[in-house]
Formats: sequence, structure tokens, C-alpha cells
Amino acid sequence: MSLVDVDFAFWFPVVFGIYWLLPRKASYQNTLLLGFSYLFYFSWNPRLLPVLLLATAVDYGVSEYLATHVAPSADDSSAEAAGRRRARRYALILSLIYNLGALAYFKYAGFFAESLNRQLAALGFHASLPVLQVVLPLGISFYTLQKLGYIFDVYRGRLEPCRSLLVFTTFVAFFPQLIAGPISRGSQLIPQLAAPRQLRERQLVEGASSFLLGYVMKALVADTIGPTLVDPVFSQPAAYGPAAHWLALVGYAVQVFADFGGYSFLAIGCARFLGIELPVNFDYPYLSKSLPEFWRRWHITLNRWLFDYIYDPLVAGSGWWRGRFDAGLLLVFLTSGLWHGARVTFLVWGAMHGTGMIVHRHWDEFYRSLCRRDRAYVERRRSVPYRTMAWALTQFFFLVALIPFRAGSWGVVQTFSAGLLVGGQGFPTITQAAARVSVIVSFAFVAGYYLVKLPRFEGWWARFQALPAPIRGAVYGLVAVWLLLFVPLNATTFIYRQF
Amino acid sequence: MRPSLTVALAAILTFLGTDRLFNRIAPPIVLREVEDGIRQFDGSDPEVLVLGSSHARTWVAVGDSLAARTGGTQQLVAVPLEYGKETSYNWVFRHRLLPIIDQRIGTEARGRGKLARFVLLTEWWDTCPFEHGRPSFNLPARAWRWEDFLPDFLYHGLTDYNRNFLQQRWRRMWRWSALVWDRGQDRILPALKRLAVGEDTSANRANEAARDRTWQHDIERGRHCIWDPGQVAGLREILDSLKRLPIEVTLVIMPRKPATLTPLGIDSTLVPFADSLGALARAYGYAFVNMTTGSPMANGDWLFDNDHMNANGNRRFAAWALDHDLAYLLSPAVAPETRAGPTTGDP
Repeated sequence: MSLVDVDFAFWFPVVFGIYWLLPRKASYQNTLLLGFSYLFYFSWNPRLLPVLLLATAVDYGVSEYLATHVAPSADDSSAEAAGRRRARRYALILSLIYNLGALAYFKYAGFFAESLNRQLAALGFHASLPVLQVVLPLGISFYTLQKLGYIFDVYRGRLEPCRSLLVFTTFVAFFPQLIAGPISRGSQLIPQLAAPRQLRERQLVEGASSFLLGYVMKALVADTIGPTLVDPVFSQPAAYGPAAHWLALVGYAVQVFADFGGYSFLAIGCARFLGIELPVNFDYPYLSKSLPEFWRRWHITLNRWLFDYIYDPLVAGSGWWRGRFDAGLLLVFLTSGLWHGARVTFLVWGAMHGTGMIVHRHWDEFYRSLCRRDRAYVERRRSVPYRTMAWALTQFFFLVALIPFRAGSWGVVQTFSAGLLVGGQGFPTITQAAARVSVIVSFAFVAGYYLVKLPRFEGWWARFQALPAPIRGAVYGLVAVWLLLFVPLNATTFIYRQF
Repeated sequence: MRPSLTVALAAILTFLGTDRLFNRIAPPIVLREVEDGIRQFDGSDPEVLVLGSSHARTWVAVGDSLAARTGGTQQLVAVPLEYGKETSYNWVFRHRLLPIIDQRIGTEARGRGKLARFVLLTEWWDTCPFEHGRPSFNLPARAWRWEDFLPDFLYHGLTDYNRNFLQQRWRRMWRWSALVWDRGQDRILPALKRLAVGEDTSANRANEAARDRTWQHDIERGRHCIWDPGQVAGLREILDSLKRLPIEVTLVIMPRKPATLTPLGIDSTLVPFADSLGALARAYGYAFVNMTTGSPMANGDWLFDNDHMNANGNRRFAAWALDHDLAYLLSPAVAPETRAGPTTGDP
């Protein structure tokens, strides 16, 4: 079941209705949420629900252990304190081994076996490792990071351990975010789940807005642009000309944003209907004027996770990594690439962004040195040409890096990249007039979504909000009519669900 | 009133208003489905039961005409299963029809029901396997009940297959809405275009010619897939089950739009299929009626899809068929002895 499937339209009103009919007690609300969340997961694959249950049980056990074995104070150097520190470290390692082991088994075992087989064959050894064909449990990449973040926070004393099994299991399995994030922090979600939720009009309105935005993004924009402009060219790059390649690349940038951003808006909207706030995951990334800014705006919860739990502890720690910012950046983005999937092309994508971040860091340091020498450089950096150039470079880099992200193999990366400059004559044809209209409307919608965030146009949205309520309602009603007429019939799977 | 409530109310009213408008421009066409046929069968005691693909919808007109001609003594219920296929008919027959038939005339209540005739409408397409190994999506969508869906869901979770059941339930919940019902039918936008710029007759003619060619090719290609063993096994299971029932059984092939037929299609697909089906019917001792090319139906009697007769075509077909090949339906059936098995060998 996905948040735009018709079964969700059957299911969510039932959840919503029962949830708000229950007495406003956290235990009742969480029991219901947990039951429906497990049913939601069960609906995807009944046989893999135990994987989620076991993963939750292990981390609840570790959390309980850490709760009952409180960390001694930093200046306590007694043998008993050292023993307790060691025991807590073992508990953390147990959680790491289980979570990363499960991720490695389900997600990467096949990839590593295949890679090793290729290397062995290249060296002349023909004894190959068996390649495991296992089903990837839905959402494992998301809930694993969510649980690990919680365990890290509890271990470091940044977060009080959650002692309630019900709250903890609901935190792990909360259905709107279970399969594709946003990746919540324990400090944000657990207190909300521990307290009873109240039905608030403002939250309902914001939930409806977010859900509608997400639905338009996914069902109209992503599902229109992907099959019409992107998929044909990436599946047969040699048959299409450069214009088709560039359009497919820009189209994919729009599609992947609308697809994953759309999912995040849907999840946030759903959670708001249930009185829960999930973290923002996308903040107008295509307005970014540098790569670091881009990664603060795109898949925010994943990048914060990677920087908080990998980059910061390494470069601010005490080992070899201390102060090695470039190596830290490269590691973070290689990890991000690997997190997205067990494919060399994802690693290439990660390496490109890691390198881009390093180049930017050095450029930034160099430019700051110029600023220190001459204050005119500060003004220059604020000028429209500089900002425009910075924006164009950032977006161009992101676009180019999307090629290995989208391409299924290294061969497609090469053919597609060459096709941006020279190649065939083909151009995707859209036979149905309604689909042509939808493509134009989809691009216009995303452009409009970004435009109203720009200073020059930001008053537009406020002006719309100031219109009389019946007129605004009529506009929303017409949007619903438009969606029913133009949204493609068969919704495709969310791109990030497969990660 | 609170602004957010006003916004919601205005949105709903705008949606409903637009929907009403579209209802006038392109009224939803709610087709008869398996559950409509089953409901009618369950709530009445007809003499004739018809199972077939979407073509069985034409038999509603046959039923009306039959009732009118016999003064209501001969009632007919048609159960249409979209997309056909013998294995799907077999499922519907076993899971939905046979339990009711058994209550009426089966071993438990022999002689209490009026059901005396069973008509199986089938054609070459029904004996071809599902394309690309895909399962019959129309079966869960159009023939399942909740008690069929739930065990499947509990075993497999929600799949692309069983989700069709929910999708169809969802659509039928909204059958009052032109906008929701139009999803997948795409009638509103062309109707709006016609209103705006008028009918493009030359384009319509070109489209019709292209559709004719597509159908001709499809029928010609049918020779490669007809009489698939899996589908024929499904057909045989139905025929075997019918043997123990004291009812008259007829296998019927419906007429085809003349423009979709080519000599190659007739000789390589339609005739071999009809020969095989006729031989099978004879083997079981059942009646066989082949109307593929023998009816007076003209191209104008078919809908734009080239596959189904239009309202006028339905009436013309009913009138003609009850005068000719289906005239036997006008008189009461003579219950045959329960058959022991096929009277001849395999065709």
C-alpha cells in the first residue's frame, strides 16, 4: 500500500475516524497507530513483518540496557565506571552489528558477492560466490537509520531512553514515514507519541494542504514527466538526440524532486491529520546557490543524520579522522550513495557529490581569504551575477550527477552522457493531447511552486491566502477536478521506496 | 463560519457542481458486471443463465426480448465477465454460480428451481493464454467478493493482483460521479473538445479505419494462440461440472463486426476455433451455435471499440437471434438426463 494508492483511500479514513473517536489517551492512540502501522507493513509483504518486529525488539532491548546502566560521569575513573562504560559500548556495538548486519544482508549481500565474483573472474579465478536473491524489506534503509540515530543519542546521553515499549514500537513503525521517511529523530517524535494528541483545526488544514501538495507532486508531476520524457530516453539513449537528453535530464530532476518531495509532503500531511509533526525533508532545493546549501535543503533528514552521526563524530573526534574534513565529506557522500542502493552508479554519484563538496569547501576558504583582504569581495558575493552564476553552477552540477543516479548501469551512463552532446535524432513523442497538457502543467506547477518562494513573487501566495474563503475553496475544488481529469491512471512506485 | 470550513465547503460544492455539469456532457456509463448478474440470478429464478465475456451484456437485450415474446414465462439472466478467458469463466462458474445453481437444482434441491438452460458465450480470444503471463486482473476486480479478497490479502499482502478488487470497489462507490467514473474511460475531455470545436468527422473516420486494421491484425494473429491447453482445461472443467446438472447446455459464438474480418482471420483463426469448439460441444453432447459470420449484423451495429454492439445493435441482434439460432429459447427446455461423459473422443 502506498500513500497515493486507492487502497489507502479506503484505509486512511478508517484510521482517522477511529483514532479521533478514541479517548484522547496516548496509550489508546499509540495502540491504534501501532496496529495500523503493522497492518500497513503487513499489506506489503506479510512474511517480512517479523524482520521489522525483530529489529524493533533488538533496539528496544539495547535501549532498556542503556537505561538501566546509566553512563558514569566523565570524571569517574573507577573500575566500576570503566566496566559500565565498556558494557554500554558493547550494547551499542550489538545494535550496530544487528542493524548494519541486517542492512548488509538484505541490501548489499548480492551486490558484494557479484562485485567479488567479477574481480575474481578478472584475476582468473572462476570459483564464484553464491549471489543471494533476497527481497529487500520495505523501508529498511529508513527505519534502520531512525533506530540507529535513537540508539546513538541515548548512548551519548543526548536523549532520555524511551522506557515504553508501546511508544518505542510506534516510533519505529509509524506508518506515514515507515517506507520512505522522513527519518525522524527520537528527540522529536518520541515526546509527541508519549503525549496524548488533540484534534486541532490548524493542524488539519496544514495536513490537508501538505497532502494535496504531495499528491499533485507525485500523482500529476512525477507520474506524468517520468513515463513521457525520462523513461524512454534513459531506456534507449542511443535512439534520441541531444535535445531529448537534456530534456530527459531536466525532466528527471523535476520527477525525482516531485516523487520524493511529494512522498515527504504526503507523509507529513498524513501525520498532521493524526496530530503529529514530522520533520521537513525538502526546502526548495532548486533555489540553492551552493552544494552545501543544496544538501541542507534536499532530503534534509538523511543528510543531517549522515553529518550528525558520521561526519561530526569523525572529524571532531580523536582518531585519524580528526580535522580531515575532505575525507569526512567524501565518506559521507559515498555512504549516501551506498545507502541509496547497491550499485556502482550510486557510488559514482556519491563520489561526485563528495568531490563537489570538497571543491566548494576549498573555494569557500579561498574566497573568504579574498574577503579578508578586500571587503569588495563580500559585496561581489552578494551581487546578482555572482549569485546567478553560483545557482547555475550548483544546479548544473546536480543535474549532471543525476546521470549515474538514474542510469541502471555504467554503460547507460556512458551512452547517455555522450548523447548530451551528439547522438540520434529521436525525440519523445506524446501521442495523447491530455498527456501533452499534463506535461506543460507539471513543469508550470513546479516552476510556480519555486517562484512563489522568490522574493519578487513571495507576495503572490499571501495574496491568494487573503482572498475570500469561498474563492479559495473554489480554486481547491477546481484543482481536484483537474487532478481527476489529468492525473495518469496507474500511479508508479515511489522512487525512494526502493531505497 | 470558520474560514477553513468555508474553504472546504466551497471546494466540495465546486467539485460537485463541476461533476454535475460533466454528468450532463458525458454521463457515466455504468456497465453490467459479474456482481450485477449474480445479484439478479440470486434474487430471481430464471430459466436461462448466460455466462460470457463483456459480450454477455448484449444478452440483457436478448433476455428482455425473450421475456416479452414469451409473456414472461422465459426469463434470462446474463453474467458478463470483462476480458473473458476460459479459466476466469471457470472461476466464476465454480465460485459464484454453482453454489446458487446447486441450491436451486443441484443434489440438495433437485427440481425446485426453474433453471433449465445454461449458455456459455465464448470466442477464440477466451482460449488464448493471458498476455505476457499476466494474471487475470479482471477476475479480482469484477468477480471477487470480500471473502475472496481477504484470504488472498492475508496470505500475500496487498499485491498488484488483489488490489484490483479494491480499485473496482472504489470505482463503484463513486459511480454517481462523472469525474471519478471517467478515469480510464476518457469520455469527458473528448466531449468537451466536441463542444468547443465540434466533431472532427475526418479524424473519426481515420481513427475508425485504424481501429479496424488493428482488430483485423489481432484476429489474424489469434491463430498463434487459440486453444491454449491451460485455457481449454478451464473450459473442460466447466463442461464437466455441467454434466451432472439436469440442464440444457449451449456453447455460443457471438457475431463479429464485419469490418474486422479478413479472409486470413476467418480461415486461420475463427474457423479453426469454431471447428474445435463445435467438436468439443458434440463430444459432451451439448448444443453449439456459431454466429461469427452468419448474422445480418452490419458495421453500424457496433460501438467505436469494434468489439461490442451498440444499443441499436443489441436490439437488432436480439430480434434476429430469437427468430433464428436462438429460437429454441422461446420454448421450454426438456431437461436432459444427467450425462455420463463426452459421447465421442477428444476433438
